[in-house]
Amino acid sequence: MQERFDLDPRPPDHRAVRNAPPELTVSALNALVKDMLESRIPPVWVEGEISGWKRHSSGHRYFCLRDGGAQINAVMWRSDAQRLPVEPTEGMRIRAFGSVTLYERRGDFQFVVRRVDDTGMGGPWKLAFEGLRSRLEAEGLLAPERKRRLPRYPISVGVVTSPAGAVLHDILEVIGRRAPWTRVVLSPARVQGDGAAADVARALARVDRAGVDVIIVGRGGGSVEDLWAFNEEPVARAIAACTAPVISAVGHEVDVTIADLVADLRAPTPSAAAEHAVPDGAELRQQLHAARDRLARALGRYADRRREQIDMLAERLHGRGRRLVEQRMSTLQWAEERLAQRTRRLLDRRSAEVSTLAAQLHALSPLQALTRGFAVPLDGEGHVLRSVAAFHEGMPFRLRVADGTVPCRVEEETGE
Amino acid sequence: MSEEQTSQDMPLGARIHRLQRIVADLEREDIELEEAMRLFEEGIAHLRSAQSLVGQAQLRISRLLEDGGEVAVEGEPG
Repeated sequence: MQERFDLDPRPPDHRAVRNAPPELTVSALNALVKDMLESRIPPVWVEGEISGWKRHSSGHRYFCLRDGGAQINAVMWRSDAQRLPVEPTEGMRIRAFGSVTLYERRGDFQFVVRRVDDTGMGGPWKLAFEGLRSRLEAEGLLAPERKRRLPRYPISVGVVTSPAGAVLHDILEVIGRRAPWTRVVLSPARVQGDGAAADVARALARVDRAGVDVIIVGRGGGSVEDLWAFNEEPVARAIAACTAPVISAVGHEVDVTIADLVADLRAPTPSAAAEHAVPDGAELRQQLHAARDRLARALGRYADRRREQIDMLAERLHGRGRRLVEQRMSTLQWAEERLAQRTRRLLDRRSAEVSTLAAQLHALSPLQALTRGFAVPLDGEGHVLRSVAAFHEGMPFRLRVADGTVPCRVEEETGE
Repeated sequence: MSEEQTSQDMPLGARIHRLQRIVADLEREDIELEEAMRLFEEGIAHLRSAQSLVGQAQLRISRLLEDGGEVAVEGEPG
């Protein structure tokens, strides 16, 4: 720190006699104090209550910051103030970052605020967030029943983020590992700073028009100001307007933005968003492998089942025959032995007929034949050729055997 | 041939859904032999397409332009 300093800003030849108290103009004194304040006190964070917030026509904001025992005049220049999400309210507690200076024209000591943050009690950011949230809620845009289900097997994934950030890298890495067959469509957007909200909203609309199956929108961590675009109305509305479901991944896990609330799914990180977006390839390949086995077994079981069905029918036919016999027997109890015997013989014959019928039914089953290694002849349209009449000399046809089809041709016509 | 082409355009999710249906249909009691064989062949075709898609090893990445056009992005991320 400076031990001694020149109190006199005038050139040396105008200086008063050494050791005598210096004589200064008001301007010189104020310039000196201003210089002292600015050079001796580094930029600081100050917490206090806002009082008398005024927006001047120039766009600059003038107000007081105070606590129980003191207050300081403060100013926020237009270029800094335009980053505020809303005008703070009277008595609002904020944290202000800035530096002290002296307004020389009036000799006012003042605090030039560059940034405003919320305190634990709230602040302009929380106020703006809650304001937009309750408006969107009233419109029903945050309703759980509005959430769309993510597709289980998306072919294309849209990504709205900064083309340079780690977010994109993380997302591509996860999708590349899990589902490398995916088509990724990047819709680049500026994710912070002036115009970021409008830029993100446009990028969302553009990627949705490109017809992707699911969209990931996000950015990495940062200050409340850095993340603010995702708390602005244009982004919220753009997410709600997408036809594809939207997964949000904004900032760190603790940061909840309006975009997260409107999105169909909120992921804690970009990698998690990518994991929700695409299925696990290894699992899917295993599923397909299992499906192949099931398909082959299903056809085999189909044939077995039909045969069982026919066996069961035959069994029922027999059973019915027996019941018929017993019924008749009881009604004919009073009849003569001879009559009974004759009747029994008659019924035995009928029973034999039933057996024959059952055997014929059994033999007629094409499935029975197919599963035992016989073949089914098919014509060009895939119809089964059921009789000799369907064949003629030179006619091509196909033989369907258990593991495929054999092309054939009728060599010579047999007699009818 | 034309059936094969429509089948080529089918999204993966629809294909997997169709496969599940085919297996369920084959397990049904009342279908004809011809239908059973047709279903089996269709099922095998879906399986082959799905497996060849899922077998792809490289992401296809494109970048949207302001005018709505797209450009392919070369290479895979580190």
